[in-house]
Amino acid sequence: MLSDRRKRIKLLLLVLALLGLGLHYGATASQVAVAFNRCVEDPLAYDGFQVNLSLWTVRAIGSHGYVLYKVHRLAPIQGGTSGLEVGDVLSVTGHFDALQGVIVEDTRRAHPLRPLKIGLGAVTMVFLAVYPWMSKRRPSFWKDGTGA
Amino acid sequence: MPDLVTHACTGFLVKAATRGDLVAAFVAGSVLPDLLSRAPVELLLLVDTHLFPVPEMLIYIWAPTHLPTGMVLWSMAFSFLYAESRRKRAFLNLLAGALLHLVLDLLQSHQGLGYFVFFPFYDKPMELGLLGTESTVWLAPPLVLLTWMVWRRRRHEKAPRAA
Repeated sequence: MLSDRRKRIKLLLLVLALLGLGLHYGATASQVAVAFNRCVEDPLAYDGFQVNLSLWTVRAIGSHGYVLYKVHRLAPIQGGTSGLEVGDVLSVTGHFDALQGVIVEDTRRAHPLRPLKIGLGAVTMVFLAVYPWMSKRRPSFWKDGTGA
Repeated sequence: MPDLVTHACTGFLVKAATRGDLVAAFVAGSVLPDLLSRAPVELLLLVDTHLFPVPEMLIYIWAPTHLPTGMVLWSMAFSFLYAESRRKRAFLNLLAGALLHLVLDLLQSHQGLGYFVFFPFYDKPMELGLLGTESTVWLAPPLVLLTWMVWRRRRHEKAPRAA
């Protein structure tokens, strides 16, 4: 399986398999993850349905609530708005109110450290890209199996 | 996910503890799940927010690279970067690093919206919910320091000693 024989065909098959998995995920699993979809598509059937929104961004703030956004979806939330700002990242649990077409907030958690976390990711990416090039001139434990 | 610094450092420290070779493969395995799944999504979301709408499928298509089935596939693919004699071990190191990544991620809480660990065979998300999604940010600086100390120590051990 991992030999050099027909290496390119194997690589092509692996990439195609990954692509197939991705398309399958996009078609099915994303629907499971975003339960709010079901409320929007059939509001009366899902009245009172428990909704979990993890890591959504505040898009707008009104007098009785706010609107969250994630990947093309807007979720109107009925809840307190004190301390909220557009652009904040929140995780919210609530239940769907079919008559008003909103999610009534039960719990809310802010993620003020989200930008720092993404920044750390960017720094790591740069380091991992640059380090192998920098370390070419010296012996390193990092170099696989070459030892000193 | 814990932040990428935590993933990279944890991968390095776990591998260093085993004193095995192919460290880079193991560390690469521990960071690639995020680089293959999260990095393109973050970029596409920036495009979606500031430039033009991105098809939803393009956002979700990367997700399986962060799940075991996808990890097996890309570990195989990346192992072809290694010579045939070391390829099987490279594959195992890449996959082990990736699985360590997933174990760390499963510690987090996304309010029940965890990871589809058995995708595409079982579609219920899982997580242990022990850590907040940004809890490890404060752990990153001491981990970097510890990693640097272990790294230096291992380099000295590997360097040829003067007669």
